[in-house]
Amino acid sequence: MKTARTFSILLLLVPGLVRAAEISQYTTSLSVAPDGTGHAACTLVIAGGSSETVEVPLSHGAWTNFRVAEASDGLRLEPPQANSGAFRVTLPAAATAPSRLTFDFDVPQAFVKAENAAPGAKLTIPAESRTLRYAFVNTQVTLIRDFRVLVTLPEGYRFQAIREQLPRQTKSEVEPRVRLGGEGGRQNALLRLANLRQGDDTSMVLEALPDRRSLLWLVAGVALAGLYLVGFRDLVARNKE
Amino acid sequence: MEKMTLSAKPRDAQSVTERWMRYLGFPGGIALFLLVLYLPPGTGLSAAAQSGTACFLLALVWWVTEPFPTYVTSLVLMFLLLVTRTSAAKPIMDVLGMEVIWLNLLAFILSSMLVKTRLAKRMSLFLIVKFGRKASWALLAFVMIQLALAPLIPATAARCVMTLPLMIVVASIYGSSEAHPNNFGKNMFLLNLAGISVLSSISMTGSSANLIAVGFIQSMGGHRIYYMDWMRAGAPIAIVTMLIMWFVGRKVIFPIPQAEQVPSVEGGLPLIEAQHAAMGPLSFQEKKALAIFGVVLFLWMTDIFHMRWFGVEISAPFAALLGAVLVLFPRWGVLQWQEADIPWHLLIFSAGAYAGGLALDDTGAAEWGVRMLFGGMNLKAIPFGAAFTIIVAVMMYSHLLTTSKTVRTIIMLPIIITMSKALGWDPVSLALPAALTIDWVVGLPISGKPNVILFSTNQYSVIDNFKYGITVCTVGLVLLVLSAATWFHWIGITPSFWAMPK
Repeated sequence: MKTARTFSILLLLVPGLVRAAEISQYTTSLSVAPDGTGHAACTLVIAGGSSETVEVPLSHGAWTNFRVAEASDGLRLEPPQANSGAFRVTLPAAATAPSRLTFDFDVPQAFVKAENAAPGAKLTIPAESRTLRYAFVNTQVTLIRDFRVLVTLPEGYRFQAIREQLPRQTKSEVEPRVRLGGEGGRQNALLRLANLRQGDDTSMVLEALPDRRSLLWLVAGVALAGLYLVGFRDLVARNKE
Repeated sequence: MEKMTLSAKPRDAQSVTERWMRYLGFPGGIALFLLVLYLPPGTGLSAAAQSGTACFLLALVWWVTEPFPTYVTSLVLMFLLLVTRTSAAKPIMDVLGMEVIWLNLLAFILSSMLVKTRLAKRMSLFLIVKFGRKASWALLAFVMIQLALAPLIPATAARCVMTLPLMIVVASIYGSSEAHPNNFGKNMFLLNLAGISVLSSISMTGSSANLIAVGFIQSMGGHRIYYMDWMRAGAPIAIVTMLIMWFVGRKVIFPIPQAEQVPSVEGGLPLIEAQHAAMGPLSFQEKKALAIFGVVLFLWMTDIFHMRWFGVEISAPFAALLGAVLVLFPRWGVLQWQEADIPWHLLIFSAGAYAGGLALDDTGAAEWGVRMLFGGMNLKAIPFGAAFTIIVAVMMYSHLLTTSKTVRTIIMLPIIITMSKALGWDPVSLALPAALTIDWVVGLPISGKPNVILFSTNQYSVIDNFKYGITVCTVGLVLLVLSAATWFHWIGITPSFWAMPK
């Protein structure tokens, strides 16, 4: 009787002692080509118990050519079905350290023309604007500790503005939700969010434009300055002094 | 003395330097705009942030040099924000509906009531009769008034509009008017401007931005700041600065000549005493005005209890709105709409300044600038005292490039707290002194609400404001650095001034 009671207490305690699996890092780097297609490379660091199965939500909804580039020894992966939003990973049988998984895929429409108005219809933003919409929902039970998506624009493009960044930055967060940066002459935007539980989501909408400045500003500015210097020269006329 | 209107007439350039500034300010602003617009793009900056910075700098040069009246510059800025695609039309237009614009508008109705009922004149005459035999005492009386009001009314615009009629009447008694401003007038308005802003830093409830800073220090720095913690650090700095400015202002910055040291009204002080006596007891209209003002003042002072008492918070603009309803009430009120002196040019100027400031914030330009500034400094290699001086100086003078204390606090405080942690200093040692400078927005007429209101009196120029404001900030900075080495260290806020980062 005493043994049975001890056994049942142990049974109750075991799930509490084993830490649930979690994705401690989920980093996606999406490089966008001038034609609007993109190539995404993802790196995951997964911590959990031996042979534990983890459902990993994919960071993009529409994708093609899913490829595994690198995986920790013993990590087993069931590649996602076409149009699937998640895939399954089984951790190594003797997992002592967090496992690492790197995979990549193509995104057919990462970067779309912002507005396709009918000929003659009113445009609300410039015709050459491109919009980059990104949204992610943690559809699975696995907690994601640190989620980051870095989107790099094609050369010759520049972000006009961050139109949306959600969820809003909280008081305890130092960094904004989306930070702009750059590398090798290409501008990028980094979206980050910590501790995504099932159902938590994050998104950004960015507007990009070809990086060129109209000379109209220069012409108008110089002309106005010249006109003012001529028209208002009485302000500093000698007889006023 | 009976008249208190805020003229929309542009201020005439008074000196040769001012005329040259006007002449060169216009092309200078355009040159700066083009330079920033065509600079190679910074990688961390969006195109909207870059063009927003260009627009704001153009407006800043024009506001300072005044080739146009300041409100026309504001309109130009609002148009530029739209055509450079820095902001959309709606957020630009929405600034005219901001709480601060409403507060200004309604407070001017209350101010008109004080003038029409001659309550402002009575209070000013009383002030002069009691304290105004010498210019220096009249100025000191205003410092005391602002010191008394600061803990009672957190809204700086409300404090400013309340005391503005007194300032105008007392300035006119000392010979300073819109047409002929003198150094007494400059001292009067700028000392009050400093008093309204700087004395808000005495207590953590002095402004909502102070409370935001306290929240950051608690949530990010892990330290709770109590009311007395803030006060024992902030009050000595603010009060000593005001006393120094009372002296330095009239002796060094705008020396008051002997002739302006006494009331310049024909008949002198005896006439003022006679006028005060001739006003007799309070009239019924004055009593009504006093009662209405009392209701508004009561609501401004008791805002923390509103939720408990009424189940709703009556914010400062709504308290003023209630006051305006009572003032304009048919038959029982004291004012008709056409008698209210509402300076629309001032509201347009404010709206432009806010639209520009918000654009810098929304596009991330302000935050990017601060990060670039701090990122370029190696604070690990210098002692605490040097890092303290740099950080507090950046926080103090950064108000010249923003129009909102709240925005400045939200951008700067988290960066300062994170930096303190990275350097191994207690976050309070840098964040609290930096927070004490939040309210010191005295450098330019666009830096804060009272600045805009007082500038509309046309009694001093942008350059006068800049000269006085920068002196106030520098005095404050020197006192803060001295305190870091002594007083703050003794009460446990700062480590040793020469300590090196761990």
